[in-house]
Amino acid sequence: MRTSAQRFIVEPNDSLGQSVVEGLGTLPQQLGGSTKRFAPGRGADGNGANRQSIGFWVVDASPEVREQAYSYVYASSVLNQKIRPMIFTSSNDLKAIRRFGWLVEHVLSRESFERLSDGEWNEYLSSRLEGALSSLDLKAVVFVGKNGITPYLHKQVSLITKTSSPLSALT
Amino acid sequence: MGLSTPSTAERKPRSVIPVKNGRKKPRVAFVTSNGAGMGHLTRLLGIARAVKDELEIVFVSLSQASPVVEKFGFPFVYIASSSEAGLSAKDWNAYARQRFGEEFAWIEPDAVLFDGTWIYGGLREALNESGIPLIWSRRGMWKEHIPDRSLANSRFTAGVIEPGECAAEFDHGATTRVADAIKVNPITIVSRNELMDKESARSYLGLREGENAVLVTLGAGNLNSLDETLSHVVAALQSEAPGWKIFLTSNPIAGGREAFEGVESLDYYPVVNLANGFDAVVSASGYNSYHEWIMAGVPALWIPNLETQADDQRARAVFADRTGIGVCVEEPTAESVSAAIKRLVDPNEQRAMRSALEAASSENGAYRAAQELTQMFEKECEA
Repeated sequence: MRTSAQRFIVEPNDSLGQSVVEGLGTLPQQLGGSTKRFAPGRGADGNGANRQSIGFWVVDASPEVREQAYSYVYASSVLNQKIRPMIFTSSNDLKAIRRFGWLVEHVLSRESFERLSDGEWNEYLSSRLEGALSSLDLKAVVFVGKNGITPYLHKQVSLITKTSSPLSALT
Repeated sequence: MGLSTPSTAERKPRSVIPVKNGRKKPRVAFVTSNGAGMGHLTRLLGIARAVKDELEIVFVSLSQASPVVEKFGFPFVYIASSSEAGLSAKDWNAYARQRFGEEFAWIEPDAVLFDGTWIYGGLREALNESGIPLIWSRRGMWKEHIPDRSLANSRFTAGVIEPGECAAEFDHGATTRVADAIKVNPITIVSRNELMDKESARSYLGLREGENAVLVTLGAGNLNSLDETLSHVVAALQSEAPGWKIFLTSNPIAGGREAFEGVESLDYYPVVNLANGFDAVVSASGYNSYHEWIMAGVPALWIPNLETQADDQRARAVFADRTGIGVCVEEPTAESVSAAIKRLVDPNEQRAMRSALEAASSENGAYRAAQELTQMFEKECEA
């Protein structure tokens, strides 16, 4: 059983996200404090302790979903000034993400992984997530499924960041 | 030259790197530094293309441009550099140690080939912990003020390969004081016989019969401000070479740049593939561009990027001018650039440069590097 203050926001129908979270090992209790002040991105005005470090997981997401997620994260970053975002991706979007100045946690794509390993890609993803959670001390990870940023995901992000911008203002 | 001077480190006897059971080919993780540029990545891509039948390669790169390796059929994973991660050197090394360690645990490479000036502490620790041998691709031409200390890292490697320098005579950096490396010819991403032929390249560029073309490629625009230099170059070309078609590379990792009237943007990697379509090039003198355009035999105006951390671009540019294989402008003002462009497009100067370039070109060192690399591994892999 995981013991950590870190939160994982996954839609019930997001099978990849659910599987990756289920594959996580035991996490230290003290994690989740957003203490590691990595680059907050170009939308941020400062990098203070009031920011929550939140990972946005767009691994295996379509280009449209990824672009919608980046727009949402950027708008939230600029409007609310409450998050220190980072992006998990297996895509070639490095340039697209770097234009916002966010930290990227790149993972091997499913195809590349299967060329190199007999293991399970989901297990690799869980292990990579675990590494990022511990090295970057994330407060939460938002799994952006095939429907993009949904009202459910937005509500959970709002609760964590204690913000009240409507989803329509951020997408 | 490095081999004739007293050395502080000597080349070690070659060690044989074991290959994991069940593998048909040794698996090597090609690790590159970078972030802002793609020089290290391009150099290793040259070696990767030459060795792909002998080794199984995966790129683990700090370059934002790393997705480009997929075009060549290589898998990759990217790790944010310290400046991109926004972490202090200490925090980033801890982060890098974990990131490299994780990837190595899954990828299980038989060895790592690293191209960069400094072997990061985090990388070294990850390698120590996993027991993976390190091979260092370490080009020369370090600026004179760069301390020799980094060279001590060669003692922790299974071998050092030094990509050759056409301008080695002008190299006064730290690597000239050691003889610990296997030296190969200059390495380029493609060889001369692979370049697109003249007719196809000119057709790709949309050139009319008899129309001249010049490429302006001043490197990563995010290392320093290049707009002023670029303006001088474009103005000089428009004035000294009227009727020439001017192309400007849109660097894969540089942000938007002011558009110039009458100038075409060219987004093609590697752009040297189109070399036979150009009559001249105006380029920064980083390792890869320098050796690629010399290999292709295209007359060049070299404008060194003096803001690089370790690479002595100035020395390469001055060498080219002194030996007649190109023209150099160290301090690009409107006047100096105009005078240099006048030389670059002059038909007599062009003939002399092309002839000097023919004499300077050499076989692509990527193949010898590939051979040396392959020989470092156990001969017997599972059939």
